[in-house]
Amino acid sequence: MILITDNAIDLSKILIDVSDNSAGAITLFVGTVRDRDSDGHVSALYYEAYKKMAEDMMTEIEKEVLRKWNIIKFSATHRIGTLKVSEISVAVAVSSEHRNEAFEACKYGIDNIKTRVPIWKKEYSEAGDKWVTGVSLHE
Amino acid sequence: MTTTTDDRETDLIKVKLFGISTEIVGKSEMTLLVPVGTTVGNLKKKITKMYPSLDVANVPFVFAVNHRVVNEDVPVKHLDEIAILPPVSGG
Repeated sequence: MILITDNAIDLSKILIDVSDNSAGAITLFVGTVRDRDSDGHVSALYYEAYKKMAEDMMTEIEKEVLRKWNIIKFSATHRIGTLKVSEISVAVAVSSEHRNEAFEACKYGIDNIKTRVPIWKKEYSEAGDKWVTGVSLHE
Repeated sequence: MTTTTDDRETDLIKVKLFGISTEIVGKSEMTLLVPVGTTVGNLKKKITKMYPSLDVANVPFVFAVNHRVVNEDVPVKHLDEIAILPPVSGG
């Protein structure tokens, strides 16, 4: 499952999504809103996505993962809107027969979501609000 | 009164904006009239002239046409979905 959503991310649904009788391992990465950065206390993050392109790019990343590793299922969900501290912003899960592929594929998934998917976040902190400096996209 | 005739054909182009670019321009979509055959590079020059703070040195943005990041030689057309994408920061 690939999804950009306004709603809270339900981790149990994501685990069900990747579960499979032939799987001996499931890895789950969960990104959450941290209460501070270099400028001090952070109270919330606002996420915005170019939804269609973001889902297309996440689907492309899923295809790459399925090509590179012998895994069973891949799932990636990113939340948008305003999130409070400790809320879940992103979840990536992978099931496979053995754990190594699941760990590696999950790391590839989140690393590439962070650098290739058109999503932006704005940080609300003691110092005011600012768009977080990110990574330039490439062709 | 004199009238002038512009015999060049023009295209009406819509550009979506995201993240910090929305804040700089003050809207999430803009409409521009450009000569037919305008490239992404021409569009970039035109927009940064209109909004000098949206300079690539300040915000190293790229363009997407129909959901793909493209180079500056690509021409844009009336019905293309064009977007300005600042550096991404999801996760």
